Amino acid sequence: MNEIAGEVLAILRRYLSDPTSRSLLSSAARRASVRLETVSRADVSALVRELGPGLNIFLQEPEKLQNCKSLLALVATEHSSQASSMSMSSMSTSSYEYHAPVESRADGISVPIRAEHDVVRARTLGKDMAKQLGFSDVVQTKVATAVSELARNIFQYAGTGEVRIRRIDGKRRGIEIVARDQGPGISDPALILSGAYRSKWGMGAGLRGTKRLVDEFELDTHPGLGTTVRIRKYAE
Amino acid sequence: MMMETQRIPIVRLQGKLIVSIQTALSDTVVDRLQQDVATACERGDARGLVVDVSGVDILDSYITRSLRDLAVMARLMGVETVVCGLRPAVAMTLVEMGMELPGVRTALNLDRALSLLDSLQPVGSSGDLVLGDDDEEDGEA
Repeated sequence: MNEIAGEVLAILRRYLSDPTSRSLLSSAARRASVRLETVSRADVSALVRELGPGLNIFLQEPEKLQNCKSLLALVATEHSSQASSMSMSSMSTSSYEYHAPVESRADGISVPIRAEHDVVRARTLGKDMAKQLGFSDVVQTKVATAVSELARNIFQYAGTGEVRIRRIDGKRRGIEIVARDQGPGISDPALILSGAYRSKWGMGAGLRGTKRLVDEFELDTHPGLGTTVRIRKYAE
Repeated sequence: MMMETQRIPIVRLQGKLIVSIQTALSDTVVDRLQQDVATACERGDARGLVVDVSGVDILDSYITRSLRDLAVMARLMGVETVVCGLRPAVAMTLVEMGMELPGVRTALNLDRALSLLDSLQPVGSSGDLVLGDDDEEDGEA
């Protein structure tokens, strides 16, 4: 099994037992006519696609199923973006028809926030991604908690919006989360962040807490137009 | 989705209510738990409540506040609450966020939580419980 196959297996093992993960992976490889020893970047999307039916059977919880598929899709996207343009076309959107509203692309995972369970999904994905990046348990929890705060604010104040999670590669490895909505906006962000203001559901506490959990925090809000919060957390 | 119907069971054991949270907490689940605990307290035969959060990997501000409210509510109904099993990463995150659980008793694990409850005086007979007036809209500033 080469490195790429190992990456896929690592994701599966987070949701399934080791034997199940291995057997799902090898049967998917067989169906996709891919050898696990020589998985190339171009093969990943086919491999991930073939994993779908098996995952549908073994992962009963819709939440986990979607998260697992999102992470797998991310591996495929990452690899294909570095591969030739031919493989790019082979992973057109039709390859990813798994009814999950979570969207994966080269710049990360986008989780639409429309209902309450999307908050749970966003934070689980945040945690999974932080784990994948090799963050410690504490940092994973901080990232997930920050995602949860931002996603909840969207749901409670704006109704709908989007949380986008992506990894930062470069000198400092890290994770970036952008939470965006077109809600009512915050009329006095400085007041909220100062702690002098307390909303009914504790948005002040949530935003202040989030700021303390991350390395970079940017709040861009326009009353009547919406709010965008961008946070970054780097590996220690 | 399926989340809507999820309920956290409340177990009665030797006069105590035990709630073990082993699932990802959504706001609805927490709110429902609050109601269920209130109903269970109302039956009147419980002397204490233990909320085991060892299965919870994320506690954000809303959920933390809901747990705090749950404990305060149970105490107002005469049922002392101990929250136990906070994971180290969760505890560190809460401290960093400046969110604690003011006024809520905590214990390392279920075992210690149960002994702690046994060691407590029945509610009302001791003066160490200050109810209500200290937390109008809470203290996690």
